[in-house]
Amino acid sequence: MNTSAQIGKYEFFNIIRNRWIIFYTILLLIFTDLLFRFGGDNPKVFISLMNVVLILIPLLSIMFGIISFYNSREFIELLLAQPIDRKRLYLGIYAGIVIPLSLSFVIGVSIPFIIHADWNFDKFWSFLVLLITGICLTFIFVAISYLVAVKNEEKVKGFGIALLLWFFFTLIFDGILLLILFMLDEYPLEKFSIILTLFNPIDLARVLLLLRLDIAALMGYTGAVFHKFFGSFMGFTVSGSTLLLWISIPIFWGLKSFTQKDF
Amino acid sequence: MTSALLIPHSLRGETAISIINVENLSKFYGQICGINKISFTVERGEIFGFLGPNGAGKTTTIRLLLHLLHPTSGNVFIFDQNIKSHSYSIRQKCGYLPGDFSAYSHMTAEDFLAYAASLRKCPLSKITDLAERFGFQNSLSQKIKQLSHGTRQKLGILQTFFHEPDLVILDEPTTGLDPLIRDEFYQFLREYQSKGKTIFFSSHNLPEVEKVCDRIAIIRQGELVALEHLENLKKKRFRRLILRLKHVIEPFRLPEAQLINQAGLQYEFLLTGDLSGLLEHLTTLPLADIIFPEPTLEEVFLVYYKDEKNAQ
Repeated sequence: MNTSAQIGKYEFFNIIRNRWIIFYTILLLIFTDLLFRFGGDNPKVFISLMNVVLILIPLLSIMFGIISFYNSREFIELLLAQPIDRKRLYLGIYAGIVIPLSLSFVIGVSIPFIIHADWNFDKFWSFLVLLITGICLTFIFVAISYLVAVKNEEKVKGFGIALLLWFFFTLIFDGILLLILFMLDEYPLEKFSIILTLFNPIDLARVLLLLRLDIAALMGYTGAVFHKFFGSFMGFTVSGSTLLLWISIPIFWGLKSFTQKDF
Repeated sequence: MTSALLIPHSLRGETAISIINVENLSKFYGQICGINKISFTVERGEIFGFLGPNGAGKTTTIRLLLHLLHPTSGNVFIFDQNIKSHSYSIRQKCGYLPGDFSAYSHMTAEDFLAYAASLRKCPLSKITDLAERFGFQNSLSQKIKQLSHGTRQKLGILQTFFHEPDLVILDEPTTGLDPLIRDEFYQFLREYQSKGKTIFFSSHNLPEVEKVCDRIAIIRQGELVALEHLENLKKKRFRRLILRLKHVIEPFRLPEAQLINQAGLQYEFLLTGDLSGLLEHLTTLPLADIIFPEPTLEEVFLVYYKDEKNAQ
């Protein structure tokens, strides 16, 4: 087993014993189960779950990542004194947290889905997109949290920046986007808004999830443009690649900063 | 164990082999000085004491030795290799024990040691003996979060020494250890040294360093103020003397003593030289009590600064 996998394995077993990750799994499980019990098996449940994926997962991932990094700082220092390559150590601890968090999400959402959902091919496909999007957002926001923690020595400052970033991607970005669209409503901005969507992983995930639902048709002309682009093979490739870029860039940036960091 | 082996090579008249060679090493955190142009060498088979108060630059130096920090200027060579370009191979032959050892809290001590062994790709065969020696055998199956600070530090000792590194870097290693285990640890260090291993021992406790080290470097405010063999350090006779008088007398001076504090009838002196003249003088004073407490590090530095000024 290589060093990253070894570190990842021990980090993984350490994280899954953490009461917060158990709490996170149970919370998702209860929430999804309640949605099915009170909402029935209809698109509303999917939309509610989508909101959980788009708001709660980035927040929990970014907070869990940053807490975990700052709390294990002394241990990271001890590991750095061992014959371990810094890059492998970073990837190992990243994998060690992102995998259990993704598993928590998959378990928390899947069990009620399996129990309650009336399965067909379309529903299965939508469920798969939901899971993949949730996992991607977990990977992205843990990577961002690690980058913030590596770049900021001060815990409080790191927390502040992480929260601000979450707030920016969930709310402020959309506000700015709407403002631009409102101010320039006389111009054809559909292509421009597609491009802007790629700059926010939460928006990108939202579009991918909404297009799985029939309500995309209710979004008017813009919805049709989005549907045409993201529904095509080209759109699928672009959105998939962009999500991968959103995962890779903070990972590699964090990796670079970590290898040059003073501990 | 042969006593000759307890003495470093240079003291035994053999050719010294430098294990650590620090050249004009500086580290600045922006405008703040961590350490400034410090240079020293540590020979093979030596227990090298690195003494200084908190915030003096001890941990910064250690972090530079381990390449956890990047130096602002200067070089560190360990096993004749530059730490910048060979840190991985150097760390393979090094053990490190921080003062506040921490590990995955949910892991058992045994699992943690297995983890450390797997990272070093090294068997855990020596662990049982080490655990027995430091009274850790019953704690092996316990979770790290359940261990007391001292017991956790013992686990740190085990992870530092189980792979028998050629160089061990210890940063305030006895923090939290009880006096019995501490003595056992000092004895263990001497035995370890007798195998030709090198130990870099950082501490803020002068008596502790005096107990185990062959040579001592003293660091203060990021600068090396002294680099002495233990014998020379002892010759400096860092002693404090507290006199309590029965009644007020005219101001007086004592030979080879510097008055550092006076409150009422209590006089506090720092002694640096021969005591024979002093004792004679003491008999002329109306003494109620005489106390010889251990000197603090600051007082040791005072002696060094006094020497420095005299030299200038």
